[in-house]
Amino acid sequence: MADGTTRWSGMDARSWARLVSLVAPGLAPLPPRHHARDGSLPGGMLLVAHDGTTVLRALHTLRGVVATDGPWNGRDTLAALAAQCDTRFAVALRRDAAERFMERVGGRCTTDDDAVDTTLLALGVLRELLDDCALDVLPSPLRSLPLPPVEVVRAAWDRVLPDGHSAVIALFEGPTLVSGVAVRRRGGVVDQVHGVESLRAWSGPLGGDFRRDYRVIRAAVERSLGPVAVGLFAPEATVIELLRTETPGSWAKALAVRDVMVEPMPPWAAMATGVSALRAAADESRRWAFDADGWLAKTTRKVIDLAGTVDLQAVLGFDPLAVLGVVLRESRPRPTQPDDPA
Amino acid sequence: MEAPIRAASLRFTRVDPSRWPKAVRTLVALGFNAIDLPLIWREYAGRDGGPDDARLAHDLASLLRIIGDAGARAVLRLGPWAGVDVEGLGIPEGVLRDPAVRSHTRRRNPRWVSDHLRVVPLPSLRSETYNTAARAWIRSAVGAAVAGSSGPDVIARVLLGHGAPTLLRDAPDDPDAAGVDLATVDPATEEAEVTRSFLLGLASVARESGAPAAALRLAIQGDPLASAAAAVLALTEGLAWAAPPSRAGVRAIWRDARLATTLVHGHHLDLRAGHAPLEVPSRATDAIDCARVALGAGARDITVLHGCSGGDWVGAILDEQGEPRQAATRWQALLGWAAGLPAGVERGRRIARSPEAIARARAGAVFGALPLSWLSRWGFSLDELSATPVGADALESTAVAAGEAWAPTFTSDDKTDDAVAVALDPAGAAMVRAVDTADGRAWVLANVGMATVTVSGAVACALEPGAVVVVRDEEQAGG
Repeated sequence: MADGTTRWSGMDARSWARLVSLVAPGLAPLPPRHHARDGSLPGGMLLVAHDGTTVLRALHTLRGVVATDGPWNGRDTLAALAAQCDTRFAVALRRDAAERFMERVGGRCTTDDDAVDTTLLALGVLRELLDDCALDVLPSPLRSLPLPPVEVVRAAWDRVLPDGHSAVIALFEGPTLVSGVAVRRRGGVVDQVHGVESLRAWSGPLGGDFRRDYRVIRAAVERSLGPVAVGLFAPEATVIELLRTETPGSWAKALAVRDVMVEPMPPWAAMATGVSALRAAADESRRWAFDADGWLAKTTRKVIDLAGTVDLQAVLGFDPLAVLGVVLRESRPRPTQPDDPA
Repeated sequence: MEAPIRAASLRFTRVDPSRWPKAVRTLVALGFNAIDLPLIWREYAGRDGGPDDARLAHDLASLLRIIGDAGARAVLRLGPWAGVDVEGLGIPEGVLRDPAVRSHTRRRNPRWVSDHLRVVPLPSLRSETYNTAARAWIRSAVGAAVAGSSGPDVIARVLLGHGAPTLLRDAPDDPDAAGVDLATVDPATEEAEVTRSFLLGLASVARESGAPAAALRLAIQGDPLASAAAAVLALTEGLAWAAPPSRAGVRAIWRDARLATTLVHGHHLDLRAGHAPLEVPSRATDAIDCARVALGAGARDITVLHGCSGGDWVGAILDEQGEPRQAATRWQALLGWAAGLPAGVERGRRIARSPEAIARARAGAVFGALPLSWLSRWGFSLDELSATPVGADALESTAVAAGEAWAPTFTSDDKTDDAVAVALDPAGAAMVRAVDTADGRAWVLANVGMATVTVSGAVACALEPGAVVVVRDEEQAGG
């Protein structure tokens, strides 16, 4: 993971916002007028302070104070207040929650903890506060995520991005590379993160077809950062759609018909992109897939071959892509960003 | 009267020294008349743990000469914790790891703060060890700057204090328990006093080291209305504080911009162009919108962080090679417009505020130890977060009753804020851009205070008293 020594480079505001809001549309920047608290905007986040029996204050990030002095009946109250504010994301804090958090983290952290240690420790304390009813969150799936041990996270991290390797995401809008990121892991941490400005500078002029340009971008990243462990090249709109879809096997289908390119395709990526769904369907299509010739058959065979070798769900206890899908389906669509220069 | 400061920061240690002149010249060409130089203590720590005076003197002499040659002035941002985009709070590792420096919770656990994806121990403003080390740093930095200065006027401002909000604790259940019996003191009042002493100590050292007294500004982060220390210090010192992010909404931006001109004369306002990579994203135009509101409200001194960041930042005005990004032309247009604002009109009035009322309001914070500075990123005021509201409106009423103008008195083309109507002259192609300080009116007339009212025929535009009106020629303003 990244830490204070990580070098971040080549990021303009627009392309970075597009990338972040791909997986967190609620973080998409809005013009200041959208935060004017006019009381009519959907979305935002609700923060509720209570003392166990009374709602001390309910604050909405777009609407300001929305409630005071009501009865607190746990999650029911939180859900009702969230519905009243037309938001799906809400956090309730008992008055002593923040101090408990600081005390528990303060007593367990050390100066030698790295990012993985610290993140899991903080998440562990938050889980304790959830169990103590000092903290509550909506939507519910966020409560039930298992918290894997540090060693498991490190092992998964080693599989996702081995030391000395890089990963790249390049997203297109029409013929234009509009967003992306390239990261390199070295010495156990992500030591370099580059935005789309770096990708453009390294790649030079592109042809405008991501199905061909991916080779140029991958080669450029390998020249600049080192061997690429995994790369995702796709139209931005396609990725947004795939992240939100509930249809099993959508990623596998998109890979097969080259709506997205994952190149190279590590085993974990094959699994994460829904290859299990493809495998289920493969009984029907196996004969066709292996008998046929051409790029479609080759891609399908490649995906099927990789299936089952590494399953992140089995390692982590949850499927990160599925969790992301749940959150994204709960979120509102990403707002457009008209008239915002890079 | 001294010219207003319109500064852009140059994060020079991340930029190749060969590119410093170009970056400075480009920022000056965009209309900035000062270059803000964040000096990061950690980056100048010598082998013995003290400041590396030789390197500090070399870098500062080079930079001040380049800035002077470009016809600009320098704003020195000395910290000790100069901003959010630094590793280890910008404090040398040896100082940070010293147990005698640490802040503690009520139960005497070390207090940790986020440092990218890890945590580091928070220094205690009460720690004598920390105060001694911080003062030594300020002494070295100011000494090097004064020695390297090519002229008496090159150094326009010296900003002292912590550039990130968490170090000035601001919640009643979140006191620094290092070396104090919390049962015997009022935590909120105690915190304000410790903050005040820390900042005044740094200012004293800076003055002794040759910093021009008129150039000193003390950094206060977070909502200044929620800071008892700010209320005390503003009576005697110039302050510098950061505008809230645009996520806070136009009201919060406006509130701080207004405070920048009304709390006391000579405040310095920090705006951020872009954001740290792990922060919530912002738009490239957000800082421009904030700056427009602030300048329209009469803010005289502003710094745009980060004019040129050299990396580790998203959305600086210049890219890492010192080339302007697309948004740079909008900054140029804005600064051109600001240069046409009437000079010599003092729009600020000192507003007396009660530190005790602020301390009481903090003590009534309903979210307990959740930092108010964290919550204020959405523009929540202390009144909204406290069961004992400080009563900003009451303060305003008191000030007005005492004969002080709360709203800035803005004058342009013989119009004042006492006017309730502004007649527009369609033949003059004038545009009205207005921010109304009254509730909700900003969006009737304006988008972040600067929307265009298309003029056709004779139009009268009603405004509430207290509104800021800027009448300008659109062609000269440049879009």
